[in-house]
Amino acid sequence: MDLRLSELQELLRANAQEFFEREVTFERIREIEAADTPDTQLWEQMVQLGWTSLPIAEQYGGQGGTLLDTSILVNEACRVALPSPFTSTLIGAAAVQAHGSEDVKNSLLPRLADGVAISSAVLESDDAIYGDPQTTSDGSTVSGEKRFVEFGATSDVHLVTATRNGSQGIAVVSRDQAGVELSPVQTIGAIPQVHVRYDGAAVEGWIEGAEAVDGLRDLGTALTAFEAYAYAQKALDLTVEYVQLRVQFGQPLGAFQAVQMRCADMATIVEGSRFLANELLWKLDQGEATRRDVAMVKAITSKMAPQVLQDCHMLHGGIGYMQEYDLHFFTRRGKEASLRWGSAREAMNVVVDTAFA
Amino acid sequence: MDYEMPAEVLEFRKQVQDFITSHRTPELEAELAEHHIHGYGPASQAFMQAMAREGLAAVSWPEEYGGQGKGALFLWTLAEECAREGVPFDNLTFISVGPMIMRNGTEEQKQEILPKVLRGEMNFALGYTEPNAGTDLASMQTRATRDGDEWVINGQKIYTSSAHLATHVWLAARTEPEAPKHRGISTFVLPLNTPGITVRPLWVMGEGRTNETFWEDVRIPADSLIGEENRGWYIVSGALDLERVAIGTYRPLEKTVSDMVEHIKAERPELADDAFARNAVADALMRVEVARALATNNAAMVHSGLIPTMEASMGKIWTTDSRERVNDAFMDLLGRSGGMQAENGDAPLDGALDAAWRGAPVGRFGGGTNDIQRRIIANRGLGLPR
Repeated sequence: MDLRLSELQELLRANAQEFFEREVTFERIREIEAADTPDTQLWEQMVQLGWTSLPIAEQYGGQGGTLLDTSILVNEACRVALPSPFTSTLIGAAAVQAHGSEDVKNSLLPRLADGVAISSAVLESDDAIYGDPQTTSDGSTVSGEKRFVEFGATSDVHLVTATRNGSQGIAVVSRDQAGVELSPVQTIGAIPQVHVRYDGAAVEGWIEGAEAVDGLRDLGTALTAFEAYAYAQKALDLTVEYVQLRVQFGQPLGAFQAVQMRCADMATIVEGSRFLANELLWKLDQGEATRRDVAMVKAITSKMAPQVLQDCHMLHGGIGYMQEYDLHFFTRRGKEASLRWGSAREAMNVVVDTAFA
Repeated sequence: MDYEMPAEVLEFRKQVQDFITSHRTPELEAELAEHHIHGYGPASQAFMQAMAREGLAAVSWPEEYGGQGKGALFLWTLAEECAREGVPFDNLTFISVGPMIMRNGTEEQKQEILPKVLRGEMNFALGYTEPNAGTDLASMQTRATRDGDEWVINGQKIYTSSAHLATHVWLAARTEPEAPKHRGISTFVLPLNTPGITVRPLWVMGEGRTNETFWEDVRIPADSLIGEENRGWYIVSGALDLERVAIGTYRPLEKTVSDMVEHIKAERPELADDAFARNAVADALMRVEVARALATNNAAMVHSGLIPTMEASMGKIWTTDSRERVNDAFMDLLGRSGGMQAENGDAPLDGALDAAWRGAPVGRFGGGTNDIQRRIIANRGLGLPR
């Protein structure tokens, strides 16, 4: 047990931080939000840096990194509030790698390593992450409606959870075809999203089994919980910095005990979340994570992040409320992460049901 | 990053569990059941001595002092298991005082003290707090005055827990009254049977007793001083950081929550469908998980050779606040039965909720109040101005 980054991981982290800080200004984030579509130039740069191939096994053209390795990049992207299909693609890639047939892996993974983006189409109602898929497939096509598909309008491939001949699985569907109808939806996190209607859309691959659907859900939930942590951590860091600079009543805000105690409480739950979010990814890497483990960390981070983010705003006062200031990017993204892939209510129900089972 | 608990630690946990099972004598059970009336007695003392003789307690101590040099994860595991099973473990001696003597004592002192500690022949009560020096510990007034080859101690200490059981006291006293308050304190080790020490019991709202101790012309040899004269505050601060890691044990809370879940399943199944009860149970399970994270993080840091300061305070705050809230919520879920005490025989969770709720305050103020811990996090951890 050693919870420190390895030398290589630290190098990766420092490189990613340097890249994002250089390339992703908040002006650029504002442009991306206004366009409601990811920045293709940034994506190309990330592909060139080898980041999309990091989690893919070497035999499929990747670098064989772990989820924990790749989460270092997710963390740095969150720390500049970048709306990027990087996480949704990581979720899809890891699910395909773990559960896909050799055919599906051979056709999809090398393309992912080279920068093809994936969206996961899972939800059929607003908040029913654990329901059986109502979307159906007959083998060659898929039909049904999916809601809140992140980056669904720009990703090349959709992973669509569906039922075929009474058994669950995941359909691999190209986005750019007649049977895929997209309608944009605006949400609090300003992450580009669409509702999607699949109307006899052609299926290019099928990943069989409820285990694959569960695996996809675990990956999506765990990485989203990690993102909720990352946004809260960044907002806390900004707040700790701000209360040392802002002077009122002749002293920095951070010298007031009330402010110190609020910061200490935020730091405590954020530190606990950091451990749990990382440990969960490690468990997924080891193949040891249970549904309960995943739901537990999602429940904790979904409760934690909005409270921390709102407290950060209170400590910032008026300036943090201004659109021209940068705090709100993390606040809105963090709140959305707390709702995505199962809100606290749904995750807590899993936790309690498991306990009473 | 590696989150795997080493197999050797898991084996050690098993060894500790076996030790507890085989040394849980009827005498010990009886004494622990009466704990809140009489405090720990001879059976508890014998249990702790057996644990020391078995080499369990010293597993993390360096080999040169008779330990096995295995690292902090082992000692933490021992403390967690004993806390979970409610058996006595002299964690202050092994986690806090022993390591500070190792760091600050002379070679002669270490050779004299540490092997006796390992054989279970010497253990410590803490002499820190005074009636007028609680949270503001550095304003302590008990005096140690040099007189030839001796120190002479006069004053009063309070909450000197275990002073009626321990062989020795780890004492902080003022040696330089003219210096700034943090720079006139020194630390000593001396036998509790030294003439001039009076121990008076104080019975607590939770389980067991503590003491106040009166010190009247207590004469001890000059070499009772541990570390540099007048630098004792810094030794005490280090000891307190380590003590907080010990207070932040999470497994008793984990046991309460899993016992409550079993109680609901067996006795109150309707609560499993009650929305408020479900919310309370979910919150409790989540609190346990965060407590486990913070405690494990601390143990892993010490194991890697780092010293948790902010992190030790975080674990202590979270675990002790959670102990209060979770026990409170569980008592509420059970209504009037929630307040039933162990003596009834049919009390839910054998009265553990009542005992833990009454005992909750000592966790929240012991080792420095949780509000002071928040200031430690803010000042020493986050770098906010004092």
